[in-house]
Amino acid sequence: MDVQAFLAELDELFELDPGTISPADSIPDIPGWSSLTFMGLIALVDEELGITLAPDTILGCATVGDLLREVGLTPAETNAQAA
Amino acid sequence: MLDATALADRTILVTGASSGLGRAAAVMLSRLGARIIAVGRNEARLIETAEQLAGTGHLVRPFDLSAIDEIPGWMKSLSAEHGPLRGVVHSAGRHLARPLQMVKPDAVQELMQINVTAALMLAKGLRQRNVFEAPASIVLLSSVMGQVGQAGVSVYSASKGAVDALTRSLALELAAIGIRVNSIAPGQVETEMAQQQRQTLTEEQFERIRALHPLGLGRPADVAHAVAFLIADTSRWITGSTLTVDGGYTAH
Repeated sequence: MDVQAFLAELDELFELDPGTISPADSIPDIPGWSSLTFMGLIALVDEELGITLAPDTILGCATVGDLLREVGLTPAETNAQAA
Repeated sequence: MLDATALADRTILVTGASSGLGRAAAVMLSRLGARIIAVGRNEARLIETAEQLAGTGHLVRPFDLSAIDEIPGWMKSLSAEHGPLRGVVHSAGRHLARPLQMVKPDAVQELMQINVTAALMLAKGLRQRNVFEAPASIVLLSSVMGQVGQAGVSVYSASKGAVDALTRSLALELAAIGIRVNSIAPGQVETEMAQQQRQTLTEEQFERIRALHPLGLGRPADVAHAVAFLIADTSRWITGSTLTVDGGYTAH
């Protein structure tokens, strides 16, 4: 899964229009951020990337970009895949 | 009375015996003299369970309960080979924690298949001629989530509510042939499955769950004692009931 696909999944989890969430966004400020979407985010990373993310790791991410790096996705990787 | 001979010469089939509550139940029943048929998907882990059982003559039978159509025939061949069953403990089960927007129909089907349909098929398998010997007892592992709700666990809750409802109707259908059916609704018990769930919770979320259990979190043996009571003749006048074993969780 590349960065764009992961961001699209995040948009769906938070029920936002496709393309809304970007790496620069602050995670706690995402509309709809709650204990339920928190649970959903852990499930999403587990199902789509096979990574068990510790809750404290998510809490330690200030931005969506930080989260992408935690799960091994970076914008650079997207470019490499596209090339 | 529950002593080391309470279940002597009785063969009890335990699903989900490879870990957690199923393993604890198998161990407890074996201490009361039962001969255990330990069922699960992972043979190596079933053998680990077998090594913990008291007494001799126990069997390890790997089987994937998601092959639901095959359950009655498989039980028939088990009893043909090893004699009639006096009880079934259905401890195999799935858990699912997802916000509603992430719930997928396939995951619902899969969970219902193991938690509910497999329970029904085990009862169907047991009631066959020559597969059971009366008096027999079925114990279905339910959950407090079948009685109270929690955001994010709607699918799991629905499955356990179904197990409790199934328990009542099966009890009425099978009473005449000497099979009792009861379920157990545990609160949060410290098992491997619970440990995995815990990894998805913050310390604060986990402490909140712990605080909702006035007697603290449960141990596998707490539930296994209840299983033993319901499998043995100590509960001969109890059928169609759900025994809540939850440290006070649902007393609120």
